[in-house]
Amino acid sequence: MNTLHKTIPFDASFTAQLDLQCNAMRAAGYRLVSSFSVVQAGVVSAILIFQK
Amino acid sequence: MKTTNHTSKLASPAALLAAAALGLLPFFAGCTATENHVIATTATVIGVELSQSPTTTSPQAKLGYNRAEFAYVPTNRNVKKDESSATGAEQSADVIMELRYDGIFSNTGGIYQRLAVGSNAVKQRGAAYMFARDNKGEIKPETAAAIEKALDDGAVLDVDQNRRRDKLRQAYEKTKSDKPDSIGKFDEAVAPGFASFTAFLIGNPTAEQITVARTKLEADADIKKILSEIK
Repeated sequence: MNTLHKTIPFDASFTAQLDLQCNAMRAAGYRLVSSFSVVQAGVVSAILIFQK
Repeated sequence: MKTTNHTSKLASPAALLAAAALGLLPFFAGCTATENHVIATTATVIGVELSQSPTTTSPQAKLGYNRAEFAYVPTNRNVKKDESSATGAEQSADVIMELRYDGIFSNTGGIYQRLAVGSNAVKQRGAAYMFARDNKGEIKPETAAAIEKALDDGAVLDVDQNRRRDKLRQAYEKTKSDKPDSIGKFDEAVAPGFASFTAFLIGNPTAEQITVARTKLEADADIKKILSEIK
């Protein structure tokens, strides 16, 4: 099983990035299996874990 | 001025979980010279009530779960100094939080939440692993490897590049269904660094690599027509 990650910023582009990343990964045969968020230096990001 | 991040449209339940886990609403008091701050909140309301008419004096059963958390995190950012910057709060406290709900009415289900504040909470790898564990306290080796890599590079594809690549993705899927004989063109169009178009989709191509791929794809009349129909 292959596992990949994507990091997206939690800003105004978050929803669009979420859709775009999930669509791209889905087209490559991956599905979103886990996610978590981090805040570093005032910047919030989400790390998405995909598996195929 | 008050700025709030919204997550009104989500792609999947897991993504919804991500948004719930995020639950962070930065408020910027831009109309005054006061320092900015971050407000981190989480809230959960889950309840069940089984009852009969009070006149029968039958027993009632109630199950409730109602909780809320609030964290006020001051930062060093002053919007008067740089109103155009989206960041600038380098000295803000770091917060990491997660809420997971998993069938509380089953024998194995439950609710758990994690909230940690402080630089160590997000900088130490152990914290990331702790948050990545499932509700059984387990973490799969594949997930651990992915987290390790994510913490190392943290590569983020620019949203505009992502949108441009997504048009190629849409064209790829439409070509696969409408013009399957031309699908090989997509593998040929991507830069040598990508073994295939799917590798291009899961990678982080540069703006130039996306432009070159599109140019090569538009050399095929059928694909060019498909691309022109994608808004």
